[in-house]
Amino acid sequence: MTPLSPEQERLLEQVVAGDVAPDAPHVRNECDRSPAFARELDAAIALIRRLESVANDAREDIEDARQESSVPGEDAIADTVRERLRKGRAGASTARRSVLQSTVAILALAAVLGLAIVFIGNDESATSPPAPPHYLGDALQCVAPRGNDADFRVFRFNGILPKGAWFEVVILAQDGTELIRSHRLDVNEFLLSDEQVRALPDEIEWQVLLRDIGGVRSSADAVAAR
Amino acid sequence: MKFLSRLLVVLNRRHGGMMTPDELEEIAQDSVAAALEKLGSFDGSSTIETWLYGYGSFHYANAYRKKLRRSAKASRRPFEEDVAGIADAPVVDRSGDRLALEIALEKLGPPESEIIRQRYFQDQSFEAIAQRLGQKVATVKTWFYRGLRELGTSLNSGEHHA
Repeated sequence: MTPLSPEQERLLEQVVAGDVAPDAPHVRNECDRSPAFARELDAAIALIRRLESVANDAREDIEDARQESSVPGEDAIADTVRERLRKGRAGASTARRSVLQSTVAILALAAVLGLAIVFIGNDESATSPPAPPHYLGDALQCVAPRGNDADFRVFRFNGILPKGAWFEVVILAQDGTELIRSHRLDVNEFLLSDEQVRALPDEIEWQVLLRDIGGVRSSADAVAAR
Repeated sequence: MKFLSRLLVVLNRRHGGMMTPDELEEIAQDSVAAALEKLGSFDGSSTIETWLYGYGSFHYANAYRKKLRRSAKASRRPFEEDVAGIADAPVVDRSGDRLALEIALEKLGPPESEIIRQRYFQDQSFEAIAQRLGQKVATVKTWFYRGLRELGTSLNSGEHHA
């Protein structure tokens, strides 16, 4: 990837987002002025055409699938999957198990759970059913920084992390420009270095996102000033 | 759910019938299970078939890649050669391209991959994607742009073959 200036990046972003036409005079001028920008623009347009072509293929596949005659065993798939989901996701991605193996596994699990309940006795956290995944918007909450006179060093938030999910903190300028993005977090806080804190403007917006492989499942945001 | 079984047959045909009926059934089960688990995320902004297509093609591509790896191991050839061979083979050229993109998108990860998929495979506007993700439109456009750049690099360098 060729390094571009921030102005060129912004222009290229506008072109690929469809906000500016690739043959707009100022885009053409930039191409004439900068071979690197012209190369990146060509590459981006080629990739977009490739994506559109693949998307068209996908539409054809969908249309063909709609017209495809019945497939042997298709009626049983949903039943098999329902059964599989009922028995838990543990074996979902592995090869199909025999009925005997599944039955033994369920009985063993039930025995272990029963023993655990007996031994743990009155411990409510252990005997309560597992909490469902918190994918609802109100499960996430920005705790700090919020409001005026805020400290930008630690970004804290509430929220329960479901299995396979992670948090992400995004700090934005007031005009929506992204300033800092955390890596995947499995704790409820994100710490900035002194240098990062100093570089932030005095008023920010920040978001905490709950993500999994399927995308953003929940988010919360707050405004803070120092 | 019958649609997914039929879709996999179509995809397999496009890939030169690489998967056996048993393997297809396995992929169908994985795809249906994944789709059922995420059924709550279907918001009706695309057709159910388009939504299911993502699950079917993803699981097919995954199984296909695993099979290629196994076959490359068995023949002691690098995996890259097999994938390159598929992309070059006339019978599956467009499937090879889709597979390469699917693998690169999978590697890219959310939110960029999600935005690119919604934009191209579900015909969603940036405004609709932003609303769905709970983000500003400008942020989504920036992610989209960044995703495209990374996707291009990944496809060009063959990084997704590793």
